[in-house]
Amino acid sequence: MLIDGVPVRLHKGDIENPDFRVLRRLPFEIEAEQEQLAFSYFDPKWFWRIVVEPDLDMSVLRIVILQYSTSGDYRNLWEIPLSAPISTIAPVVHTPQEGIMLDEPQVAPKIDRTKKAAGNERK
Amino acid sequence: MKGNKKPFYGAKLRLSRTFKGFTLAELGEQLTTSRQYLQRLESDQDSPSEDMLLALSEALSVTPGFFFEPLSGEVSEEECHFRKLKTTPSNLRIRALSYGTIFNMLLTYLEKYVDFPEIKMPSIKVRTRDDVERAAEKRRMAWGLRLDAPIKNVTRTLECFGCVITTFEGISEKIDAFSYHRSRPIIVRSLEKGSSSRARFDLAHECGHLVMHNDLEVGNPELEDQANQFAGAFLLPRTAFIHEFPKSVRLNWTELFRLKQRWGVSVQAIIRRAYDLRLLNAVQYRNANVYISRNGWRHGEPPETEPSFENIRVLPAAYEVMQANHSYSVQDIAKDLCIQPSILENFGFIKSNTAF
Repeated sequence: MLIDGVPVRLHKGDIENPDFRVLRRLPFEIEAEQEQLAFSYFDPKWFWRIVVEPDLDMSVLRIVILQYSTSGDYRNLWEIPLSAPISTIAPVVHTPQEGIMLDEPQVAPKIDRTKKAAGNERK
Repeated sequence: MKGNKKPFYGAKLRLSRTFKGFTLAELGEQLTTSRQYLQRLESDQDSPSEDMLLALSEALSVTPGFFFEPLSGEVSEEECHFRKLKTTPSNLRIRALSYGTIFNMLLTYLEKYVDFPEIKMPSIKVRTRDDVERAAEKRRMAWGLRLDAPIKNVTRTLECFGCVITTFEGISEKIDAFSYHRSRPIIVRSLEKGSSSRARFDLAHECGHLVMHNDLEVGNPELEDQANQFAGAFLLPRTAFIHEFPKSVRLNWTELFRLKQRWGVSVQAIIRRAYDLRLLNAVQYRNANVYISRNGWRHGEPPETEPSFENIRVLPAAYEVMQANHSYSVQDIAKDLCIQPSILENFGFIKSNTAF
């Protein structure tokens, strides 16, 4: 996606140890005008990423906007403050679930609770 | 009856008359008496003679004792949410309310002998459309329905969490359903319309009123809109619906009917839900509705696409308890309530296969 014309890619993984896919840049990304993000200088070695770091159960630990260098260094790391915990990441592929049928409603003879209470009192 | 120690309650005559759908003039004609005389009886200005009392009882399917017990638990218009309040003639509304009042008599009676399911329908205050959406999601989650799967049986779901559902027929198709709170939440639903998908939507709509509009003044059209939105959100949760709604430039009606069969919701309601969630723009929404009208689906969608009819279960189960544990027959119950057994049939109490 583009933010103010600057290509920003979203990926999921370990923020401090990006793998080669994270660092791979497409030609149009390289050619883009990255300085448009209002920084005082433009360095073509650095590029922007939004990274979602999940736990083993896929719950979100943090979401960060940062710059990576082609060698895997990072800087300008900004963690997006979350107002509420994100439980899971919505799956890209939706698997339709079977319909839910509840058990039959329970209807039973009335229990005379007043008699029971009286019995307890006598004890 | 003149000379009877107990007073004759005119309100009970009015109740039984409106329950049967008679005007004063029609009942007067049937009993060869004047409308004015019946009006005097109803306003407690006169008491009937013995032969008139017997005639009234027979014509109104009650026993004479019915008129000598005071009216209690009357259901008033101020506590019921009618979907088409403005277009429903008042005589039909009054008749529907009398159904509610007589049903209350039956329910109060049954509650002396039967433990109904625990009520788990807490009130949720809403203001915005997002509040309504969340209220429906909250109910689904609390009731173990998840947000990604259809509800197979809406009737059973509501019954499981303390709602009592009863039915009526023979009034008018102008009244789909109405709901109110008494000792427990009650939904009264018409059997006039044959569509099971719409019946499911009606129940979800009334569930919306019961959850969101307890203690609010009825008759506000905004509340009806909220209840419709609740029904859409309850039956078609947004996350799953957005995933499953067919994504194409032109509407794919085969896919829409497939979606209907999976979720048990009419195509009309699916289209509306898609519009509310901005999956369709105003032009697409209008064109879809024109297409629905041209195919005659507004008055009934293809029967083969309709979900299975849903049986009410709580009332027949209550009767089974009365039979098994107290050896009460329908006649015994009717006698205690001073009504004819035929009236009990109206509520889906006896017929264990009452379905809609």
